[in-house]
Amino acid sequence: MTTPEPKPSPPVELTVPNDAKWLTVVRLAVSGVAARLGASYEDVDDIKVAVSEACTNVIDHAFEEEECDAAVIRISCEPSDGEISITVQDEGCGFDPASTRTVDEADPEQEGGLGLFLIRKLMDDVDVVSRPGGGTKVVMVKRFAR
Amino acid sequence: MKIERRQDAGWMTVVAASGEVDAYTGPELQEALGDSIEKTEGPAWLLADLMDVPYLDSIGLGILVQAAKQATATGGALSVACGTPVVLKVFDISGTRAMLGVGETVQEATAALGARRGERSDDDS
Repeated sequence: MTTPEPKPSPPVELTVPNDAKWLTVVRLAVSGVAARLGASYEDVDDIKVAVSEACTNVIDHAFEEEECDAAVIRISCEPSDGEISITVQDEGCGFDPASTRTVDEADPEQEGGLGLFLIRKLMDDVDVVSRPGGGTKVVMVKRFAR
Repeated sequence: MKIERRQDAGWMTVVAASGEVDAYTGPELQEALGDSIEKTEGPAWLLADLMDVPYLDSIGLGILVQAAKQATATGGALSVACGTPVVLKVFDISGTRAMLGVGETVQEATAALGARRGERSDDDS
């Protein structure tokens, strides 16, 4: 008799208004989820910064001022064996990823771009899916240090 | 976020922040640093005491870099005291640690600022 494969856990999801005052709540929530899954303190810190940067990008760039009141950011944390996949998604203006410059080096004096640079440095896999008018989805994977 | 400002050692302004620095709270720190620089007559020697800041991201980094540039433009400089591992990591991976004169204690950051002041005096003499 074979042991059945464990069923994957459903994701932990959070929806917050598109407002910077909720960033601290997002950090608190994703830190709690990552810690619950066994992430080290350092991994929790990395995840916290990366997710907060992704949400800050939404707040700064995704919506026109008149849309902001109704806009939300959706955060989904999917646990897997030894890793966590976190998606930050908005239904804002989106952009053409091909039209943005690839940031290989940090330039804090340059407006924008540093957030995504930090996300790529702190997480193991990062995928940005976006199209003009179609919102943006940032999928970030962190494999936990053993 | 709580921010306190004080003059120290007769030549240095300390801006001490406690709490997280992000897109929500950052403007408060930006205003305190900018205001301190503007109100200083002559070179602004500024120490950002972030020993009680448990979190700082690219927004905070941009604010510190901007303040460092403003302070340098007056003939002074900015240094940063920070002992929080996640914040130090943000300085390290963004390559701003040396530029911002980051010390892991207030004493280290004060010494870094004093050294810059000494270099400036040597240049002037």
